[in-house]
Order: sequence, then structure tokens, then C-alpha cells
Amino acid sequence: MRRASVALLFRLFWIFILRRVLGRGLLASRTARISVLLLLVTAFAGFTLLSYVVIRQYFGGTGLLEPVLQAANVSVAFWALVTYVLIRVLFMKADELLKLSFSLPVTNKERTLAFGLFELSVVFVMMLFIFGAFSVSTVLVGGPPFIPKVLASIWFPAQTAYLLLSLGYYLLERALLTLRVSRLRSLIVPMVLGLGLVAIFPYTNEQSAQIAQSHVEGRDYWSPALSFALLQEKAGIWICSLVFLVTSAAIVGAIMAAAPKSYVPIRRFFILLPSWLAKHRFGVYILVMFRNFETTVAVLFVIIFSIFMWVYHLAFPPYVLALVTFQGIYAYSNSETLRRMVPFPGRTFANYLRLVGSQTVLLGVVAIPVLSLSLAQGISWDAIPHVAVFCLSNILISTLIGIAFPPEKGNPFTVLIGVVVTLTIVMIIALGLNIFNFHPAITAIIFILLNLLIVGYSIFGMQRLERIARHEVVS
Amino acid sequence: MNLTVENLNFAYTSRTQVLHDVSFTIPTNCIMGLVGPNGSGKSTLIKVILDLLQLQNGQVKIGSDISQSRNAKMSSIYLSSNDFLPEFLTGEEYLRFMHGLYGEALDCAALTSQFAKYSMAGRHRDLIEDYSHGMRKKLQLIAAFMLRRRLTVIDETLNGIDIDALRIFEGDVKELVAEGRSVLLCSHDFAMLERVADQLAFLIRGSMVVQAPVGDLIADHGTIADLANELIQVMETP
Amino acid sequence: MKWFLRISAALTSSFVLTMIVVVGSFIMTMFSAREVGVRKFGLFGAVFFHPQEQSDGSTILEAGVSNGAPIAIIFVLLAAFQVAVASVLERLKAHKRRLQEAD
Repeated sequence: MRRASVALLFRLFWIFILRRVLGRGLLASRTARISVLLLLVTAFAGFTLLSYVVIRQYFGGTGLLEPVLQAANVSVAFWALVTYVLIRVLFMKADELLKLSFSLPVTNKERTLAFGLFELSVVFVMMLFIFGAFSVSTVLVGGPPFIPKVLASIWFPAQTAYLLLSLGYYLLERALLTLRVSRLRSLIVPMVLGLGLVAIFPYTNEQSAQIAQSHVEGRDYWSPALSFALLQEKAGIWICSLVFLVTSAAIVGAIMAAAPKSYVPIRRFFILLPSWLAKHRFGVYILVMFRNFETTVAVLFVIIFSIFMWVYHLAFPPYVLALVTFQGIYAYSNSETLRRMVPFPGRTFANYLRLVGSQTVLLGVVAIPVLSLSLAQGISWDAIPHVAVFCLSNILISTLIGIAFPPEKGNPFTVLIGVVVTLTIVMIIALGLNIFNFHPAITAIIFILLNLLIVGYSIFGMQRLERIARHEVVS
Repeated sequence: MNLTVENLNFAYTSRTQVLHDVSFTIPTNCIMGLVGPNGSGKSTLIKVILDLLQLQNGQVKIGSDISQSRNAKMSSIYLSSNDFLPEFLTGEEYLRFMHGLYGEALDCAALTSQFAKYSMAGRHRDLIEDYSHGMRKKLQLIAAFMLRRRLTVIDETLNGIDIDALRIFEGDVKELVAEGRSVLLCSHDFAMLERVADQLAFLIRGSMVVQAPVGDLIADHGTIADLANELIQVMETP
Repeated sequence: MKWFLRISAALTSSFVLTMIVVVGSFIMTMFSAREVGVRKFGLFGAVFFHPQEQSDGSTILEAGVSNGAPIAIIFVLLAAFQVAVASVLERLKAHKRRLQEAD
């Protein structure tokens, strides 16, 4: 195996991300890129400051920092799995990125290793957002002795968890290849990961509770998740780092051995709903929405979650339906062929209504069983309008993200930036309006106006994209 | 005339003028071959004709309707060079969708026979996602032959289809224009153009340098390939 | 139409930026309020945070906007600034285009 090939491929993947993801849609302009970077850096700095203030105020000098770090340690695997689910679903759509490497003189092992490293670096960036602020503030409050503790409690377990998940994924892919259902991994892998989340969530909660109890009772607590932390405490950070490196190398070796020798393209669509729908434009928009594998994955996640809530007798309003509404991000790009392949693509406003309408139909279909289950659990009828408004608003926002940061075919990463920026803005606006403490009627009017603004910008964005395609304006 | 193009100019930016004063016509019952080296502006010309790129200068008429009108759009069909098709539909659904757009009912018997004719029997209920590159091209051809518009524009769609399908296509396209229709056929397959095209238009660096009956050109120059070589040499001579 | 779009874009982004400033100031005010019973103000007196101890020993939090004027001024200033920047930028771009065409 040539290490230079691995390094070159790794570099190629990152160049792809930088040029084809961070340079498209709204990010095509340098001013927009700098603004988004500043927004993200400011958000991260603000988050770190907030985390520091909270940790100093509540845990500084109390001796509680250690159990808090332990609790964070046992939750690392859960968060690594959450991140892995997102990354895995995204990478499944990344055919174009994979195809980049097929015409190059590299072996499958080199490709697997380079891709694994690339995934790892993406996961690292995401984990940095989840645990970065906590790690920095813990060290700031606890002092330098906490640097090895944070490393052994957060970062070593995070990377090991990712590598183990990756190994599990490749083993599963091997099994699916043997069973000749490898093309269905777009459906099976997220299902397995979803069930993993359902299993690990109560385990993480239980572990956190046991840590708290052990601290109150003044006894030591150990679980496999705390292995690196325990090793660091008993043998020091250097031995712990060595064990971490050896473990990582062993898992990487196992990944290389488990990785399939060839790439099988995934099935991206499933034949659902009758053919006659294709006769009408709106019908075709419904077909594209229902047949996408991400929709099936999102619906399965919603159903798994609802059953989980039912089994554990947890009664919460079914905001989980919002997961289905995130499909709006792909609504514009997935239906682009319908507007591009004919000389008369239809009026922009009508196309926008078709985009949003098809998502509303999907939401309605999924909502019926989920809401019935929630009502049977004892949720009040009053909660339903709130959920409906939230989901409908989410459809509008998701559609706007897909228009402002259009994901290309085979390159789904473009949406990541859009999702991060939009969620940040939405959360800030929601919190801001909460501070104003307006009368509910006024808040409702403001939200209606904001949604109308979103609709306006979506239609304006679609018109602009169409005019760019016709070279009426420059991009 | 089924297509009239007059004094067409097009530029992507102020510095990149792609089409220079292009004028030509396609009469009824005529297959016009459009040839030219890569980057000569063939696809741009086709897109401007079909109003997929904004008309900047000149005039384009399909029949008696200007290219931006609904009538013009309803009387033309475009087969693009890439296989940019809705992969979430089956072949049958794609044809149903296209027929819906043109306001026509899908003839299921005709569909089945067209699929069989192009060696795709029984595949019309498979997703386009599962079609090969050649099958996608054939599907586009089937759509054109079923919808039978006044003007059919084929932009290098024939690249990648097998010899058998090419032979069937040649028969079908001749039959199509025999009913008062026209075809603008952009291709690098000179031998096929010699067999099917009635006229030939040669585009070099955005200028229409030749438009003449294929028979006359062959009589004067031997083959289209010989003519192409001559023209390119002349254009490249400083 | 061009001015309508420019002004609406400026209003939208200044709304978002104002919200960021308000939320940021509020969070800073919240975490700098260490004493119970003292009303703490932020953002030129626009937002406040007031932890109060009840007779039963529990603490309640009162928080919100005490004066909307500074927030309104920030919003207007940000919007005006963006409209001005957009106008200058467009003139500079037009100038650059003219220079390129003259080449």
C-alpha cells in the first residue's frame, strides 16, 4: 500500500469539499463565505463562553467537575453514533465523491483508508462543535491537570467509538454483499444505526445515573466506556495515549480487512405509489418525495422513535415528525430534472406550491399513525396544532435551505453549511422573540410574517436559479 | 418552414461571444444534420432555439410561432446530450409524464411495442435509476417517436446506443419527417448523417459556414468527413 | 424592484443581526447577574435580568425587554448601514465593469 496515494486521495476529497461544497449557492461569493465563517466562529466562541460561565458558576471549586466529565465520557458513544448516522446517510449519497477515485490508479484498500480518514476528519469537526466548548471550558475551570483527563474522557473514546462504528459498518456491508442485498444498504444501514440509537440511549442514561449515585455514595464507578479515563488515572496519559494508538491501529487494520473489495452503488429510489400519478405534474412531485431513500429512512426513524416512546411509556408531543420535514432540503434539487428536461418548466410560483404541497402530503401521511400513537399515549389534542405549525414552518425553512444551498446530484454535503447556518439563525430568532415576551397573538403574527418572508425568498431564489440557468443573470 | 433562425447572436459574458449572426431554416419533411467541432456552439445554438437560454439577439420561429411562445414549446421536443432524466420514475412513468406535459394520452400498446423494438422488452416498469447509459438514450428516443412533434431536436443523444438501435432509429426518424415534421440532428457520426440527413449545417467557432443538401455536399467533397477536414483547415489557416 | 429587493434584504439581515445582538446581550446579562434581588440591565438598558427570592425560599427569574428604543435604533442603524454598503458596492462593481469593457 502506498501511503502517498492515501494522502493524495485524502487531499482530493477535501479539495472537493472546499470547492464544490463551500463555493456553491449562497457561498459562491467570498463575502458570503467570510460572513458564514465569522458567524460560525462567533457562535462557537459564544457557546464556549456560555459553557465556561455555566461550568465555573455551577461546578467550579465544588469537586463536581470529575463526575460531570465522567457523565460526558459515557455519553460520548451516543453522540458519536448520532454524528455517525448523519455522516453515514450523507456519505451514502456521495456517489460523485467516490466516483472521483475510481479512475485513479489506487487499490480498494488505499481508497478505503483515504475515505476512512476523510470521514474521520469530518466527524472530528462535528465532534468539535459538540464537545469542543465543553472541553475548553473544563480545562479553563479545572486547570492544566484536566487536559489529560479531557483527552482520555472525551477525545480518545470519541475517536475509538467512530472507528468501531466504521468497522461495524464495513462488516455489515460485507454481510449484505454475501446475502446479495448490498444495494439495499441505503435502507438497512440507517435502520441498524437507528436501532443502535434506541438501544444506546437508555444505556447512556442509566450509566449517567449510576455515576451520580456513585459520587453521592463516595464509591468508584467503572464501565467499559470509562476505560481510557481509568487507564489515564492509573498509568498516566502517556501509557493511555500508547494504548489508544495501538487500539486505533488495530481497529484500522480490521477495517481494512473488512472493507469490501468492490463498490456497489446503492439503491436511491424505491417504487412506491401508483404509476398514474406520473400523469400530473403534482403527482410527479409526490413521487419524487415518497420514492427517495432518505424519505424512507426518515419515516423509519420516526416510526422506530414512536414505538420506542410507546414501549417506554414516554408521552411527549410528536415533534419527531419534524424529521420528515427535513426532506425539504432535497426537494428542490431532487425535482430539478422535472423543470430542466422540458422546454416549458411551468411558473415558478406553481412549482414552489408543488414542492411544498408534496411535502405536506408526505407529512400528512406519516402524521396520521404517529399522532394516533401519541394520542393513545395520553397526549392532549391541544398539542397537535403546535406540532402541525412547527412542522409546516419547518417544511418552508427546509425548502429555502435547499434553494439557497442547492445540493448537487451525488454531492449532498452542500446542505450541511445551510443546515448549520439556518438552525443557528432560527434558534437565535426563537430565543430573541422569547425575550421580548410579546402577547401570543403578536408572536403569532411575527411568525406568520417570518414564514411569508421565507416563502418570498424561496420563490425569489427559484426565479434567480432559473434565470442563471438561462444565462439571464450571472451567478 | 418548421424552424427559422435569423441573425442569432449569443454571448455568455461580454468577452465570450459564442454565436455570430447565425441564420438558417429547416423546411418540412427535412432532417437537418448539425455538425461542428467541440466548443463550436452547437449545444448553445440548440438551447437558444428551444428557449432554454435567453434569446439575446435575432429571432427564432418554430412554425409561425416565436420560440418563447407556448405554441412553439408544445410543438417541439428536445433530447439532450446528457442523460438528465428523473431517475425516481420508471420508464413508463417518464413517458406518462411527458405525455401529460404535452396534453396527450399514453398509448400503452405503442409503449410496449416501442420498448420491444429497442430491445428493452419488459423493462418499462423498472426505475430509470436501473437503466444503463444506452437505455436512457433509447428512452429519450422512444419519447420523441411517441410524441411526434413538429420539430424534434436531438443533441448527440445517439452517442452510446448500440448498432441495432441506431439502425432502427434511422428508419424511425425517416418515417417521422415523412409526415411533415422536421428534425435537427446534432451528431459527430458523419456516416449516419450521410445515410439519414437531407441537409447539413456546419457550425465553426459560432458561425454557420455551410448549409446545403447532403447529396450536393457529397457530390462536391466526397464525404462529410472530407468536408469537415477542409473546413477546419481553412478556418485554422491564419 | 432593485431598491425594493435591496431594502428588504437589508431589513431581513438587520433583523437577524439585531436578534443576535439582543440574545448575546441577554445571555451576558444573565450570567453577570450574581446577586439575587438585583435587577441587571444590558444593551444600553434594553434588556434586563432579575432573579428574586420568594418568601418560601425559592428563586424566580424575571427577564425581558425593559426599553425597546435602543433595540429599534440598532435595527435602523444596521439596516441603513447595509443599504449604504450595498449601494457603494454596486457602484464599485459598475465602475469595475466599465474599466474592463474599456480595456
